[in-house]
Amino acid sequence: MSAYLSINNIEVIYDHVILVLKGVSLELPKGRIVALLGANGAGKTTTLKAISNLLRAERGEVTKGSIEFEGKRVDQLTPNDLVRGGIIQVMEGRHCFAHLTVEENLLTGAYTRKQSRSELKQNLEKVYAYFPRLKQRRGSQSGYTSGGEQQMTAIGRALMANPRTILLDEPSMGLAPQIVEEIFEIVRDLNQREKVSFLLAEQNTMVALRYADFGYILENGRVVMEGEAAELRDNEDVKEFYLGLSSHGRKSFRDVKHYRRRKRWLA
Amino acid sequence: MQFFFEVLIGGLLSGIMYSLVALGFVLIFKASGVLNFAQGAMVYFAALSVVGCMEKGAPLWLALILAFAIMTLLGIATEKFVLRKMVNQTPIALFMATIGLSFFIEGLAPMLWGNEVRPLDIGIVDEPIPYILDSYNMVVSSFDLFAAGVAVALVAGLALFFQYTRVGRALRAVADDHQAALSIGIPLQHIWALVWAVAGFVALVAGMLWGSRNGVQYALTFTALKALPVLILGGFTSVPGAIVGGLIIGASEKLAEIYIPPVLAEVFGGNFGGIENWFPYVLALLFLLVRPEGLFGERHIDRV
Repeated sequence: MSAYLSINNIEVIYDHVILVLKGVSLELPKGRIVALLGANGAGKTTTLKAISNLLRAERGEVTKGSIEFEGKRVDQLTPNDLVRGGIIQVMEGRHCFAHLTVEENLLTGAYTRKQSRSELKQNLEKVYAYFPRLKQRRGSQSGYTSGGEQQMTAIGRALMANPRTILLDEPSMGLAPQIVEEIFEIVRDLNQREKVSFLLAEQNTMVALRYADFGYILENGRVVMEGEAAELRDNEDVKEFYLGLSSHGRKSFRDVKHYRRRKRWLA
Repeated sequence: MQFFFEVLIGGLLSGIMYSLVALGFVLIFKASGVLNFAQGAMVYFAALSVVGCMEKGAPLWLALILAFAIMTLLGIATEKFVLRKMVNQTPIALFMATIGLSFFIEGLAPMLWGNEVRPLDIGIVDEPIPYILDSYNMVVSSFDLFAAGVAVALVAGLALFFQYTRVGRALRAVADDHQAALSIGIPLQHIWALVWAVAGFVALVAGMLWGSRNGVQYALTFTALKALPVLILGGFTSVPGAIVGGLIIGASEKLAEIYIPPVLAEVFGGNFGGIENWFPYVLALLFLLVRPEGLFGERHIDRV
């Protein structure tokens, strides 16, 4: 399992003053799904944006460390270069182009690709095969589609760029549990059939660990724990703090203790 | 009745001239979601560049090409020195940047080319067309008709470009969401430089037509003011809207000028000339109350 995308000890500073990532290292092996877990403000999105280099537009900067993709340093490339190179980010909150139709949204995803009309058509049909719902709604303005459909549009749009790695930020945000399952099933499908690697930032730890192979837990801009997904699921700390389970199974609010288990990784 | 048609046609044709200016606003608004306050200054700068090049001895066609090159450079420079620093800022911040830009251009243009009023002759005479004058006894200027033809061609071209090409689609995407466009690999820099160059081209066309009618002078920057009601009526994001808005504004202001003062004079007494100067703004104001996105503008989509 060779490292395919690797982040080595990066530090990210916003606006020259706000230190958000304090030395994060992680690896995404080829063809795997790796989950990046943590609470709000832990640095998940920043980590993804550091890779896709959308940080620059938010006055963020990688000040230390390096990011390598297929053995080459990519931390100075523009998002355009990265998309051409095979890494694309699906941003948190979907960010569809509201006034474009679903199909136009998908077509914009192919902007960086030089391809003939028939190839484009073929590509589009492939995305529709994964998201049949989008085909039904291809003509409607995406601003008027449901949250789940927008998330599908956003992922489909990224697929149109034919990426080898997708940085997927919080796909479950604001969606009903059933839709979340549906979207994760498609992610798994894409991973297995199209061999797309996923780096997945999620707050929904339970779902993320069910679909991911490996996980990292971020807290306050540091990786505090990492391990195989199954291993993390069984970890007492993770259960307590991220899954809301204690050693006796699901906790009843009647038994809530007034003191908390100490996080052992704080040492 | 014949008089009515003459006024109407004259109004429609002068409205098209407003549309030309409005078009420049629409382009930039579509691609960056910002009202480009400098559009009027760009019209002035473009017309002045043409006149300036011609004074240096260039023939009209060469002067046009040179002016277009200058406007393209201006577009690229705007992207490089102004917009690039403003990615992901609020629209109001971008808007203020364009105000600064308009001052800059208004200062730069006379520095380069001098500030005296100069005539511009593009070889089309502003005279009534004899055929129409003879057979219908109406005055329709051949210049106006030419301007209308240019505007319609420009609009048709741009509308098709936005709707059906890869770059046009990318432009609309950028207008909707800069960041998302960035995330899927659309290079904002190229897109913005491109759209400012195209807006520069539209400003050049508008500057030529306005300049040859009224002379090339600082007052050209004020054409932008007449474009505002056109935009409000037609919608800020619609290329065809700019034309329809221009037609409505042009026709209504001329008709209002002719037909409203006598009525008012009868009721209140006194003189009510000059209605056409403020009528479009009142119309725009009323329109804002009824349909804020304009006739063809994109509706604001709010998910609740």
